[in-house]
Amino acid sequence: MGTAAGRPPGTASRLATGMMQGSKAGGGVALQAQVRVADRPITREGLTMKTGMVRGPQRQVQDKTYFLGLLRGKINELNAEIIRLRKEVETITEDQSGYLSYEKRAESLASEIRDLQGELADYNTLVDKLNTDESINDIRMDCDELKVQNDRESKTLDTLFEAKKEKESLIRQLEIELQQEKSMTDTLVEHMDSDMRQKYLQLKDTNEHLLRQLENGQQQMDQLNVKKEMLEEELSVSPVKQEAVRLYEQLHELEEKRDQLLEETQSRGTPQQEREKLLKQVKEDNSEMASMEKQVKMLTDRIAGIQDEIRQLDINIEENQGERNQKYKDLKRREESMDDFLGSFEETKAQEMEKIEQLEANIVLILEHMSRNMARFTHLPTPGELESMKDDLAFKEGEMEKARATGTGLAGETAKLHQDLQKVEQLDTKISTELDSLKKKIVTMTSELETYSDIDKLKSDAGTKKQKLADDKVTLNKRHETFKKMLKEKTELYEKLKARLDDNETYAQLGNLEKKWQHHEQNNFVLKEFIATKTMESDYSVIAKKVSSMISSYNKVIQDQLLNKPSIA
Amino acid sequence: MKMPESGSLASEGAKVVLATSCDENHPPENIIDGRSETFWVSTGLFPQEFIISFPSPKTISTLHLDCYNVKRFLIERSTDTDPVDFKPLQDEKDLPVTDNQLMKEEVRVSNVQANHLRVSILSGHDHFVSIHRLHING
Repeated sequence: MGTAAGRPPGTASRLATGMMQGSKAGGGVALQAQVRVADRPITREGLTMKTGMVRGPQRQVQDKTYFLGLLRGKINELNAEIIRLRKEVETITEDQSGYLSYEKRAESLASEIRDLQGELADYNTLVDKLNTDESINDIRMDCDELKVQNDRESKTLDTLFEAKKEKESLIRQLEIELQQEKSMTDTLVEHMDSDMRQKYLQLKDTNEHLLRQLENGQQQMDQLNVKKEMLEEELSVSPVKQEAVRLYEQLHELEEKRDQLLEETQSRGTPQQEREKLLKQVKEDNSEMASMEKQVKMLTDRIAGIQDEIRQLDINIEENQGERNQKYKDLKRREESMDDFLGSFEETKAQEMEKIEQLEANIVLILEHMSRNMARFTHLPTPGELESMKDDLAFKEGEMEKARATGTGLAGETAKLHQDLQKVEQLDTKISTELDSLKKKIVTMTSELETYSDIDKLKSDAGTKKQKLADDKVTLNKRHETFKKMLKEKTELYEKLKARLDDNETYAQLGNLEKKWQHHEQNNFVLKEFIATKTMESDYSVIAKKVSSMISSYNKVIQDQLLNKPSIA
Repeated sequence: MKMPESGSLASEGAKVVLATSCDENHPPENIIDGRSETFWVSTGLFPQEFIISFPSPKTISTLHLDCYNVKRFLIERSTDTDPVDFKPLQDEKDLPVTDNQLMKEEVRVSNVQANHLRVSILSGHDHFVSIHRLHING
């Protein structure tokens, strides 16, 4: 109690104070109690307690009304608290309902945001494309392409959907067909004569029976297998039993062997039989060997599989061991590197030595070079000389440029000269041909010269020619005269004949008839032409042909449709 | 131009005063030059004819005509100084086909006088005919 007084209780303090106030000693304690701020918990209750403690000694009588008043006050407080809590609850429920609506709104807003983001992304891409100098037409084309692709894909989707529908309908149809088949079989069975039906039913029964038997057998086998496994497990547990099994097996084998041997001794017959038997045995052995080999193969396969598994497990272990393994690996690597180093040390050393030697030789060379240069250093030119040398160099460079220019010029000239040469060669051939022709000409001219040098002969030739021409003239003149005479004669004859003809009555008649004929022919021709034009105008054969061909094609189309229709239906 | 053979009509002074065809290479003078290698060739449709005038009246007993492809021909004579008023020496005559062989036709008459002689080829076995030689025995 004292301790309790010393340390004011944290909770239910009012009752405690009441109790304390009830006892006189308590009041004393309370009076004596030193208020230590440090010991007091910093709470409201604590602070009120202090006031209570201060008030406590002021009111000594604590009757029923006091407590009632206290209770009332507390009740009021509680009511107020309850009201407050209710209000809080209401606000919370309101918030809750509000929250739901807000959530919905948030969702809608989020979707809106998504849409807008999508749009923004589109615009961004558009801006990018514009920035990367792609024309708007390209983008439009891309858009069109995408649209077309989308259309195509939707179409394919539609077709797929249709195909699916078709398949479903097909399945339904097949089911119907199956049903039909079943019903057909039923009807068949019904329509069978009694013997057949009996037989069929019997067969059906036996089929069912056998199926049941098969099932039973399968079940039995399963059971037996389970039993066997159980027994084997049992066996594997106890080594004594295993041993016993082994011994039993051995015994069994030995007995068999004994029986076999006995049989052999009994059935030992002729050598032929023996041989046959041996052959059989060999065959059996061979087959056994083959089976054993197969087994061996199987086992090796299994071993390989197990090794694989082991490897897998190793990998797993490695993974599991992780860090340690890493360290180990590092160490191993280091060791390997060290080993490598040690192993290749001699070689590296030799290489290095070689390198050193080379470097030494190089150094010597450089040193020699340097010494030589040092020697030369004394003969270095003065700045003035250097200037002159530079000038010289510049001059020489200019010279070189010129020489180069000359070289290119000369190359061009050579090309030109080559062309000239070709031309000259062509000319050469031309000249040679010309020369030939000229030689020929010379020959002819010399021959002509010979003829022309002989003027007398030429004169005589001319004379003879003249003579001949004169003779010709004479003869031709004569002929001209003769021709004239002949012509005259002939004209006379012609005139005479014409006169006679004109006198002839038949001729005149003939002439008239001919004229008439001509006229008729002309008429005929005109009429023929007229007929031709009319026929051309009224020529319907082309149209008729066209029409007939069209009719035939239409007929064909109709026939095809009629042929195809039943298959479609 | 070669000189005519001796004994030919040309050497006696006869002249071809008319020929209905005249090829440069085969002039009508080739008929009377006495050679069978040279010839006169027709260059057109039938009939074809040529007239030979003698410097003085000539007596004719036989007349040799070497030719190719001539089918039908007629020989006429005139005793006038001008080559007019011709009279037939014999009837029109048909010649058979010779397979590319020179035809040698002989016409016999009873010693007639003539200043001019006209040979008319009325038709031929081919499109063209050739006259190689005309020789007269007095």
